[in-house]
Amino acid sequence: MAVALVAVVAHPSTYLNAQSAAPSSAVPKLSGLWHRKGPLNGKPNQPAVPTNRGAGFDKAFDDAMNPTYDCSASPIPGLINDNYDFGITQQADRVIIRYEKMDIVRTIWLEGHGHPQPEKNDYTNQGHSFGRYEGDRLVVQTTKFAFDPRGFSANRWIPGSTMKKMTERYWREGDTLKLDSVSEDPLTLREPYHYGWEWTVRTEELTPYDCDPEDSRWGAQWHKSKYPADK
Amino acid sequence: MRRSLRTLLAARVTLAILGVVLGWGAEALAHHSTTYYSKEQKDFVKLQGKVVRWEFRSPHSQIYLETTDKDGKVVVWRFESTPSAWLIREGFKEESLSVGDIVTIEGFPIPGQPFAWLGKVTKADGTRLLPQRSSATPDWWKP
Repeated sequence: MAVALVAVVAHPSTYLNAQSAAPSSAVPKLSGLWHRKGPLNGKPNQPAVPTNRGAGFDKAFDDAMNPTYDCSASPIPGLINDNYDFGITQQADRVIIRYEKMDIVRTIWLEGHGHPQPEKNDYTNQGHSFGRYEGDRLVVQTTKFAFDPRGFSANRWIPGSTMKKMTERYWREGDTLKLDSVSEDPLTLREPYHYGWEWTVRTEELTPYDCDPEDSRWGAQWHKSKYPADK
Repeated sequence: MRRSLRTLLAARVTLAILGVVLGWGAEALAHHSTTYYSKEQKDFVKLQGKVVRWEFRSPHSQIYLETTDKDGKVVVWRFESTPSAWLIREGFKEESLSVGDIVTIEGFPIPGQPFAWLGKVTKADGTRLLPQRSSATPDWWKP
């Protein structure tokens, strides 16, 4: 199933097909390939503010344990903050976002189509996303994240707990796609973490990432551990 | 000496603050930390040699350059750069380099090792291949 899904979104013609498959003319046309322009409305994004617990984890975390060294994908919101392009495919009952970064594919299950709730123990890297259209916006709410040290950034260790939630709002203004988002985590964030970005239409196909685990792990050997060696 | 160090640190802090204000932060991040590469000017290398291996890939592309050191010994340097998706944006494609090309490469090494972060490639015909700046590129370096 997963392979079939990737195959569907990987073909560029599906971006066009997906537009015609959207349920009504009221649905905003977000399908396409998108390239980063800059922060939302030119307003700089601020870093996440951790609780003492989150800051303590950040300080104690040893870089060699970064899952990225083994091509493990960074979860949202850090994934979206990283400057890679992506493609959106709108279908009648779901929205699929395929990222250039790590070849990640997210499925946003649209409400009102009988999609099942995630199982109680179904915690995953990118969580479980439900979405709905509100006027000209796609609103996505994601929960059920697996714990990850890269909770809010791919390069900072404020962890995301299993209580992390993220809300994304996407809309389009001409050839610009805009995002306003807020992430919350009562265990590791002192306050909701807001950020927004804008993207412009991209005409070239996305570049496959095809992360090489050996290459990725190579750099870890040069980091000195924060801790004394075990005897 | 101490004063120039303070000036350098102040310049770095200013650049870092400017980066946050302008939203550069996420732009400049590498796949993972690359702090093991030196940003000191004294460690900077500029080497001429032959490309013996070229890996256009993710998370980091690699150029292996065969050079001769001051004692006449052959040394193969490994220059690390950004993922293929980022290089393509700068016009740096897989076909931009070939094994056997004679090139000059500037980079920022791990001190004492023949491994470096790639700054710039200049081909024999004068063509320059310039990856985008990343968190491993020192502020003082102007290509």
